[in-house]
Amino acid sequence: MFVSYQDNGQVVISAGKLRAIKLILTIGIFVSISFAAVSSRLFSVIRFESIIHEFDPWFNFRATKYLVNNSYYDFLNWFDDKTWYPLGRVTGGTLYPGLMVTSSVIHGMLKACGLPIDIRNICVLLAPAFSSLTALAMFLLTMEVTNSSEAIVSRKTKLSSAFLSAIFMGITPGYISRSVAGSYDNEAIAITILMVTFYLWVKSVKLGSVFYSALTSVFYFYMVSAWGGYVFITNLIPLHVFVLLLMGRFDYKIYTSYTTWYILGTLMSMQIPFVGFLPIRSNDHMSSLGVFGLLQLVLLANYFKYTLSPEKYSRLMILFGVLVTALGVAALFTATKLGLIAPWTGRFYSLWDTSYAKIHIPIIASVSEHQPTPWSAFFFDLNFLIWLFPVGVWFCFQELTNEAIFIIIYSVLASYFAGVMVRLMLTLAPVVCVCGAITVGKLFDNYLTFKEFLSEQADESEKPSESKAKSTKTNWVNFISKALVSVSFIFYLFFYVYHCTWVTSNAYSSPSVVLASRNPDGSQLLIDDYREAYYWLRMNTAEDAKVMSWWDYGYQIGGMADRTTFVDNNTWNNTHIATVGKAMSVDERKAEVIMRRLGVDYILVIFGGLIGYSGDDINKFLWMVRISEGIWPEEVNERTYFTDRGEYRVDDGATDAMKNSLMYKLSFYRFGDVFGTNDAMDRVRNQRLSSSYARSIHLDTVEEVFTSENWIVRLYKLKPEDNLGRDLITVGENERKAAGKKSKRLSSKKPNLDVRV
Amino acid sequence: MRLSLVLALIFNLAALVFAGPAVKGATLVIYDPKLSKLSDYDNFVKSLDDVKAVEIGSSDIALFINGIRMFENLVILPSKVRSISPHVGVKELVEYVNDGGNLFGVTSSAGAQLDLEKFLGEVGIYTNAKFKLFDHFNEDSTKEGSVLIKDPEFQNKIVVPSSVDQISYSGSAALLSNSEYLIPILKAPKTSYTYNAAIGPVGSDSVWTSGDQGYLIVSFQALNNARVTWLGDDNLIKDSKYDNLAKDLVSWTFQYRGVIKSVSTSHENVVTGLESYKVKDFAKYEIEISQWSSEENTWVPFEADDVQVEFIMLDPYQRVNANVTSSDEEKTLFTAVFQIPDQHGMFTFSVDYKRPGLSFIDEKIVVPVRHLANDEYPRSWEITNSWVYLTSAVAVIIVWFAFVTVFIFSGKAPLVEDGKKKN
Repeated sequence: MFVSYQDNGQVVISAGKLRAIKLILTIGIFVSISFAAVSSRLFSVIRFESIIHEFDPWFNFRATKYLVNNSYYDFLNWFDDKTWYPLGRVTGGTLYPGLMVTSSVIHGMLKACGLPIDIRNICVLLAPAFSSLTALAMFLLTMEVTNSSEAIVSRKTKLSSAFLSAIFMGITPGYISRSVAGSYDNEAIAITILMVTFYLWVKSVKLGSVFYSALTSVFYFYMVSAWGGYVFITNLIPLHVFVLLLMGRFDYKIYTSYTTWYILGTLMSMQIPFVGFLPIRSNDHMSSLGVFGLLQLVLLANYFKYTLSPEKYSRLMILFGVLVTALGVAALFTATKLGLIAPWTGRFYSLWDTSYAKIHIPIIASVSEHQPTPWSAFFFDLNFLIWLFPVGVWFCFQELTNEAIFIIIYSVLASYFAGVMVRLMLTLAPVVCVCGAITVGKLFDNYLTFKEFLSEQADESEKPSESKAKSTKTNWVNFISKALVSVSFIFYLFFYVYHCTWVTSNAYSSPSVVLASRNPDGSQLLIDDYREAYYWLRMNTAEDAKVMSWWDYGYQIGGMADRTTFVDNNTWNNTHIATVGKAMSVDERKAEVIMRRLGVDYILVIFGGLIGYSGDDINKFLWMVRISEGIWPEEVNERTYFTDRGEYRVDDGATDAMKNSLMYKLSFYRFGDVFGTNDAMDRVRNQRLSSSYARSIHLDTVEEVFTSENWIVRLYKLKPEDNLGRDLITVGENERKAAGKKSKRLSSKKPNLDVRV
Repeated sequence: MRLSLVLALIFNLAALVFAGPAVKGATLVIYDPKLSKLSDYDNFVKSLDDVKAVEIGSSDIALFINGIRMFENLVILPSKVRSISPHVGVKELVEYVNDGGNLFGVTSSAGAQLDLEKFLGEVGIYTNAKFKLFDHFNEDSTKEGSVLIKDPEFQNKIVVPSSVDQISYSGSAALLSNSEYLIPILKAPKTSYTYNAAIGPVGSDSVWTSGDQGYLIVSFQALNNARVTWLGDDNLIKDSKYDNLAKDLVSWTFQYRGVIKSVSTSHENVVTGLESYKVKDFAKYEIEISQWSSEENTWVPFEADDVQVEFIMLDPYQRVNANVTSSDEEKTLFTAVFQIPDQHGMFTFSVDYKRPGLSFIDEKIVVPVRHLANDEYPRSWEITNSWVYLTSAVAVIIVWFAFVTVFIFSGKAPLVEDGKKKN
């Protein structure tokens, strides 16, 4: 039907039909890629339920609900009185609204279509949905990069390279780690927008089109509204232009696209309240401003080049260069000195010196995703692409088109940053996929073609017999070597899919709100302590109760228990966090003063000692100590929490500072009771608390109100002040003393009193 | 048949459980007949309402039955018996006060109930009946071992408004802790001291108080407004000379006087009239306070000029006097108007009115103070400083348009002639 046979045996297909078949195939491939990308992200929904994961997503979810229930105006000016008590948080002005707006728009559109879907399901499934768009953007980017050059990838394999990059991106664990269903985080949509912006940028540089660069800036604006990582674009594009300038590639296409992008993009990005005036003040944005200025100078120089005589021109240029450099450096220094532009921020330093944060800013270092990347993570997240990546970059060097240079710069920058911080692996993944796809495409271009071999086999019969033997031999060697390489790469591809699925399933699909474990008989056991405790809070405490906990759990308490928190994952006020850290680190008497001043009602601690859950508060305790030591070095001292031999002990041999600290007491209070007369065993730190010691841990100013099934979450209530004006700790001590012996006599010893004032 | 039996059984059991207290009433007086008969206190007891008097040690005495407090007021008279009753100890006394019950405790040199003394120790009144007050400069010649206090000065006029010519005191003196809830009424004379007669007057172990370090009458008001008064000498309630003093102490302790309450509190934004605020708004806070008048047996307006309102976020940002703006038959309205600071956050309107002798008022309302919304800032042209920038922006636009127009309509004639360029 589609084909016709000619007399000589050739098959003929009309061009129209061929195009149709190609289109169907393309669509089919895309549908499959989307299907693969989406379905591999659904592990958590199937295993657990449609639930928001981890920490930050809970805030995003809460903010989205606020946006859906109120107007955009309310959202923009949202003053959140349920977090950072009593400071409150200007939430509307300190978040990136892109994610919430996106899902509320989707929600509204579906509702308008007559599909009223619960906002939670939209939030849960947003990341998988966007991942298929990312694959599409990836396809376009790879096409664009390889389009104008034969040397990078030959014309006929362009499409397969692009498809490969799409599927690589669709399922690479480096990206899945931030975009499984339920991982409702900024990165979920930001990577998609990042890829679209890069695609449009590459395209606009190629065409010099105002339209495409305006589109670039629109997507740049979307990116700014969605994720703080927009700074990556803000620096990568100027760097690209700068390198092109150094290479003498200046032309009006670059001028048009960059200036259009910079002016529109900067103006638009300033509309986001959280960004505000940063683009003209912060050092992160200075490179784009500098390149913008440089472009104007280069344009001027270009003009002079054609109007002046060469020697005049060169003299002018030298003078000009010196002047500009001197002025620029002087301006930078004065502006920094005068405070017109923000001083170099800590986060900026920690990008260059990985140990900087650990020494100077404990609050940044305490986040696990800000730690330097271990080598194994590269293989874990990118599999065989990581060793194809350099090859792909090498291919880009084969013909240095503007697009290839962009990819090279991108890979250099992203590799460095991915090495600095674990979470920046996310920005490395796309370029690795592009380069990997180029390599595999090129490889298959050379090795997966057996046309020659087949035609020669067919021709063999017509050849004379002497040369026949020789050519057959080389033919076969050729064939076998080609087949060997192809088969091994097909195996790698297969293994890639296998690895990605395994990693996704085992490492990235846990909601971390619900923990999965195994019963002795191998059946699955869900540990649901978090939600149990949050639900208890929601149901049993006053609506305006304030819950103190370490900041990790702030968003979850706000999202799941709907109670006021003191500190949360938006770590905007270091002092407030340090205050909470201090309350946890010091003894009960000092802690009580802090808690009363803050207005604490309940205290929530995470304790994993009973079932061996290692992410508990005692393991995070040193961060609390360090952060509060940063502000009150004379009251809190990290060294005192370690024994003389430098051990971090929680058993009988723990230091006094440790034993007296509120956090320690809250964690181990009544822990001994579980073990009866046996010694209490902390299964996380593998330390044994003697029975008598475990029982002697007591609390006077707070009382236990709830402990979850596996003791992971423990809730305490701050006792009200004593009605008779006594000191709660003294009352407790007296009670413990009296419990032993019942004295029926009044001591005739004079009480030891302070002078009455 | 069987059902009725079961029902009867249940009723019987219920009757057992809810047998109720043997003694019940507004005021319980516990006395020790071995020290002095109840009739010795006739003067005092008659002044009380709805009195049940029970001998100490009786197993009928229970302050709580099924968790319900049985008495409003409790009077414990001097006694040598160690235990008030099997059901009442220090713990129960603390619970009783924490539940809002008032306590009037009397000790004397003849005897002091042990649990009472221990309880007083808990609130910060340290007394010991073994120690006796002596003042060799002011001895009462009519009565051996008594200290004569001429023209005694009562420290708190709200608790004891009346005055007494002189007091002949025979009993112990108390040391006081620094508790802010204590209200000292009568200090020991400067020349007096308290010592243990069994050991003798010399030695630090022997002396309990010296000079006006000791107190003879002390009141106490707990956070929940329950009141406690301690008297070191039961003559002050036996002797009709001190009727006014005793009556003052009892009426204060049993909440007839010095009782105030806040009837209502409200706050509003002066401009909008709503209960929501943004930075630099003006807030109006109102509180209505009534005072109990036992003479009129009704609530009357409370008069004061020291009611303060605070606006707190960690620290007080405002602390202003609330003025009397109106008063009706029952209550006085205090109003404070002030500006909210230029600081957003969760602020607390707080009236923490704690005056010795008056019931405590502690009213707190937490309100969010939001920042300015995006359209609440002044527009750029309203700020004179911006005119420079606005002018330059407009100028650039105009010049650009002019330039484009000139550029388009200037034709293609070269600006510089070729001949000139070569030179």
